[in-house]
Amino acid sequence: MKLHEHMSDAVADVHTNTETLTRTARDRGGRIRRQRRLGTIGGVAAVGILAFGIATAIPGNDPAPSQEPFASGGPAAPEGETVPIDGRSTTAALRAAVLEVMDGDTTAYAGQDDDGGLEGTYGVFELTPASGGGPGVVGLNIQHASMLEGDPIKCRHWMFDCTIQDLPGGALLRTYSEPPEQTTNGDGQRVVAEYFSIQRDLRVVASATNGFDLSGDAWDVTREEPVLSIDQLVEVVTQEWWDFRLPARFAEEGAELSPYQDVPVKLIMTSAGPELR
Amino acid sequence: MTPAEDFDEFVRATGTRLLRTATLLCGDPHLAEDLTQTTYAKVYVNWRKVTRADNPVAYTRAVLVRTYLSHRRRRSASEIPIDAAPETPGVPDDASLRLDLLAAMALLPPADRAVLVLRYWEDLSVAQTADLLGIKETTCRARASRALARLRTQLPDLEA
Repeated sequence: MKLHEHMSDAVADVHTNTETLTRTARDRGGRIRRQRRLGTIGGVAAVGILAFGIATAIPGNDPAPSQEPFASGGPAAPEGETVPIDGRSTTAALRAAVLEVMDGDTTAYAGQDDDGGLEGTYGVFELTPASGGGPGVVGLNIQHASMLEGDPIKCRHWMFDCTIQDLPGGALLRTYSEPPEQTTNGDGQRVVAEYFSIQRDLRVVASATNGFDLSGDAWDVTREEPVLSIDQLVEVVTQEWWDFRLPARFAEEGAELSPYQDVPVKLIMTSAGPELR
Repeated sequence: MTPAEDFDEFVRATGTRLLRTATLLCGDPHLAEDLTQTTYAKVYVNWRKVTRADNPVAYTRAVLVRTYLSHRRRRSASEIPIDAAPETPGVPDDASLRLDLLAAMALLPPADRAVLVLRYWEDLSVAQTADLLGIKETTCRARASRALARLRTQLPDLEA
């Protein structure tokens, strides 16, 4: 008797409940997606673990990093009176950084002070560029880079058009686009720029979209391109003031942001991995 | 058809087959279900890319096999190394002692099981199997040959 026949006999009565399978797969896959996205703009640091080193790009994309060093070198420790970061000051500082690279209207502010015991904050708001087109969402996360230990920083298979650059002082800059989400009214897109400094134990990651990422696969696409380009996001994350203490003016500006929503996030560790509740 | 409906249709079309492959790989129905669910969850995360791949079924199968091998590596401390397991000489006289296929395959190292499942259940070529597992074709052939020899000690009528 052939091995294939033995195998067929062995699994002949194995059948799956496809309804349960699809539901479970979409639930778990959806959680993974949300974890990845919040890992780029949110205060949950458990998505992916990273350390510093030379990275390799995915096939077809740019090769190994160490392109032209970025001119400005990225954030430096802020001088003058500073205050500890929180959700409002992070959001205010993000708004200031964005308005330095483009004109536009901002609203619907939200931020996170305490990410469930892990250090880091995030800020997010809706941006409508003065140049036209619909609004999108801009978000930024500040984290300790030391909590992301392990694999070298590299371009993951799900990062489209990924690049990694060396910055002065041993820092790294990574940029990429997430796979577009096809919807009935266009592709939902998110672009990301990340700054990493092991010396300063600092990770700053910003993203911009071309609409609103709703639950599941749904997007409300409002424009063709994200509201900020990769180059503009790079300017945002390499803004000199990013640190765990921000210039005091951002605390004042943050207090005036309206409407503002404080978004508490609690990280639950499950057998399937980290989950947000 | 929306992407979600597209994904659901893909699972309906491939789910039973993938579960059977998972069952042959691990021999445990509960683990096979978990591996299958994990595989489709990973596929769902990258569904945009998967639909643009030349062969979404092959992509999904590769995810399953790698998920299985990764799971086995994490549990390797509880597995009896094949070299240490006693070989059963000849054919047992009592048919009740003769192991069925899943039990016989459970005595093989995970990588050898994967080679047999890909070659003889999924009908992949040596080159395709080696590529998926990240091994040389000579290694693939050697593993298949060794695994078949061990299976034949439990299933004497086995033909490749």
